[in-house]
Amino acid sequence: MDFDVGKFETEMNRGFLQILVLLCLEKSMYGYNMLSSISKIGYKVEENTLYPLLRRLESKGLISSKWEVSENRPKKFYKITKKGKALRKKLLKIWKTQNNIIKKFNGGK
Amino acid sequence: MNYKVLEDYLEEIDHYLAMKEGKNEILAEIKSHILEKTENEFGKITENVLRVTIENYGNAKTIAEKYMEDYQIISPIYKKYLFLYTGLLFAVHYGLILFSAFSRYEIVFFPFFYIPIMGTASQAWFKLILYLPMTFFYDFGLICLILYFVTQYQKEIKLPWFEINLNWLIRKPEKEEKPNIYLLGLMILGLVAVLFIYLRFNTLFFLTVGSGKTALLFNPSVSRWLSLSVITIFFFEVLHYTSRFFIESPWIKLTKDGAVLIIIWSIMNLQIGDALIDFPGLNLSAIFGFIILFFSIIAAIEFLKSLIEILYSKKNAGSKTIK
Repeated sequence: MDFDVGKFETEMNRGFLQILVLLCLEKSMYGYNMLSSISKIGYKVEENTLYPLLRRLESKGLISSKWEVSENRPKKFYKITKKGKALRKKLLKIWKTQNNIIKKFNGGK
Repeated sequence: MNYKVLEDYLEEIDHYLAMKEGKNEILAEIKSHILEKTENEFGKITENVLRVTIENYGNAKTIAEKYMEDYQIISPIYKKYLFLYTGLLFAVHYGLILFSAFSRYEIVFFPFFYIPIMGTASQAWFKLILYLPMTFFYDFGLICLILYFVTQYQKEIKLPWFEINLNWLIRKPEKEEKPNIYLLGLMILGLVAVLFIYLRFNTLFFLTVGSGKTALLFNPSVSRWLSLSVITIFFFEVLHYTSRFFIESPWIKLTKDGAVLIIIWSIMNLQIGDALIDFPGLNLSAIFGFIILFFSIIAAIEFLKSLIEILYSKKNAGSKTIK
């Protein structure tokens, strides 16, 4: 049977992207900057997925933002908050546990 | 510098973003991103290269949808409430419409309902059919509006829930009482008595005015028609009861109830008020109006019960409670 992997991947990416963004924003970054950094390490994130996610994280107080003018253009810079760091720690722990469980069920691979 | 293709794109996103706060910030961020990406990828910014970047960014509707993933018009948890409340409101609303039609009263409940006088009985029946879908759509919309406000402003509110048990309304074939031969005998005797009265006096509706003399309550033609209608209804009831000794079928009951309803409809078209004789000290028009209204409601309920029973018996496998 031919499954649409894209939909499953999107569902998996939801949680993964949240951790990734929280890790990225240890230092202050703006959207395009963040996309380029993620792209350099070999992972592609759609811009129209990243920006709404940033907004959701900000509305929950996990990241903060401020507008700054850089290279003659106003840009919105994001940074992780204290609350975001606490959540990131918990999420990483969950992710590691899940990873171990998958490995065990997948014959240690 | 403003670029038309970019401004048009942002305007389209703006149109789809149904939120009050943060819209401008979202649009500013998208604008900033598209300009920077275009400059980095093409080395310059023109309308043509901007168009390419915008196409890659995605269509305006999809972008707006992604920003509004957490935004709900009506919370999905209210789905059951939507249908329950619409059903209850519809029952009350249509009940008022029926009352208005039969009593010829205008009902105003500003700003929610306005039910005008529907005219003569034949006009009212036609209008009642027209009102059926319109009432449903109106009530559905009104409940949607209420749930919209509840979702937007009172997310923690606990709405009242009503368990509606329709079992009392539906005959259960397994518990159906068997037809009684003595009751049938009584019904046949009653029918014979009514027929005897009709053949003796040419009507069922008369008054004894002293020394054995009788006076018709209606003019002769209406009196005859009304009497025959009552006898026919009685006959259908006896026929239906008799049929139950041989076969129990909700379809037979539905046919009987439908026929009774049609006969009552024809009675309502008789303009009984005009056909009544004057009788000092008694408002016969009001009395008969009330009696006909009463029997028409009973007949309508019986017809609906038969209809629900058929639908329910088709659908029902085990569930007893309709929520």
